[in-house]
Amino acid sequence: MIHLDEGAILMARDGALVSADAELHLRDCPECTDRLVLARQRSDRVSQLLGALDIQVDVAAAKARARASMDRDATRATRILSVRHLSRAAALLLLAAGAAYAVPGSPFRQWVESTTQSSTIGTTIVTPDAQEFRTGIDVPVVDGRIRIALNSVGEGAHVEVVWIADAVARISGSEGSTYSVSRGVAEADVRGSRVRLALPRNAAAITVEVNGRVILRQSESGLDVLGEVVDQSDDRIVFSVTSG
Amino acid sequence: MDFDATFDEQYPDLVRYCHRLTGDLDVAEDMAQESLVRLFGLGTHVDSGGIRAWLFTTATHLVRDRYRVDRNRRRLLAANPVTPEESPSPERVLERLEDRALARTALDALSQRDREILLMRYSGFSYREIAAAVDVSATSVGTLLARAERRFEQAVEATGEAA
Repeated sequence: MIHLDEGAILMARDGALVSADAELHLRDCPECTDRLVLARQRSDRVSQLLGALDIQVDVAAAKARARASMDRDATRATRILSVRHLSRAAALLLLAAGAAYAVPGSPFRQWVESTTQSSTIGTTIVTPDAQEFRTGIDVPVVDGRIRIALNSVGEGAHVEVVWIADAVARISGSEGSTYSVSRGVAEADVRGSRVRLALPRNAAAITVEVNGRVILRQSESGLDVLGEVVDQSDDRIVFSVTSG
Repeated sequence: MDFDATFDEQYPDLVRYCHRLTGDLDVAEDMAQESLVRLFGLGTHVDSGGIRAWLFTTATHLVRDRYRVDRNRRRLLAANPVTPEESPSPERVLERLEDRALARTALDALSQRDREILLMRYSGFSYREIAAAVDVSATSVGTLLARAERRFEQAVEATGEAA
């Protein structure tokens, strides 16, 4: 006679599915029946010992903690979702901007170029007073002195100087001009036929150079107008740039 | 699936199971709570008939992950001795404390798989559910459980004799 193995005995004890042959064997075999009884007794002992480990459970407190945890997770998920949406929006915007910039002559491309070119060294960008002065830069007065050097100014171009009551000079030029400024010294590569310089009337010392030549100098001794003047009034001087 | 009803019904058994498994009440509460939060908070879809098995299986895996290094589990067990929750009489307290210490020590002596099979069986799970939770075939659960029970009793006897 082949007796049931230990696994089958436990399956019979625990009500798990056993084969019809195994059930028949258990009914007829005193040895396996004794083993089944022993298995049940062992189960009772194990159950009793494990029961000794049982604890009091505070369901209400646990439920509150679980709810708080779920709320935190939901908040975090919302934040992540928001960030993802913003990232997606930013990515789409970037793609759209890239596409717009790629089109030659597009208004967006012109705007980007003018903006980046006018901020070679980051200072305040001056809003042009006139449509033709689309770019510019502020030049703060340092120790009462300002030095402005205009380069690449085309022959016949006009440099307009206006006197202002402000403490900050301004250079305004056409689109494509570039500017830099550092401690009261400004340089500009000028494009177009007109440049406007707004100069502080109260500055102690002002020097304006065009293509390496000084055309205007203001010092304690007075104002020296050295360039070719095409128009002049109390508040304004217009120079014409010559090759000589 | 109602949160309150499910929590009330499942949490006590779940935390007791985790406590038996780990010997650490804090960890047990964390694992039980995490299982329920996963069930509800992550929008997990579980058939209503399989919720209990899903929760215990999830808790088993969480505990397994947490105590992947057996030394950590032993250290925590040593640092968190089991204390009685109520006592009808001094004799009963002593007896229960002895049983508790015996059970804890014996469980600690088992392998992780034996411990999981034993505790799931004594939490009322079917052989098929145990098989799914511990990744064994359903037909081998009886044999594995028999071995786990035998080892558990042997460990209890060894601990009792040593004491």
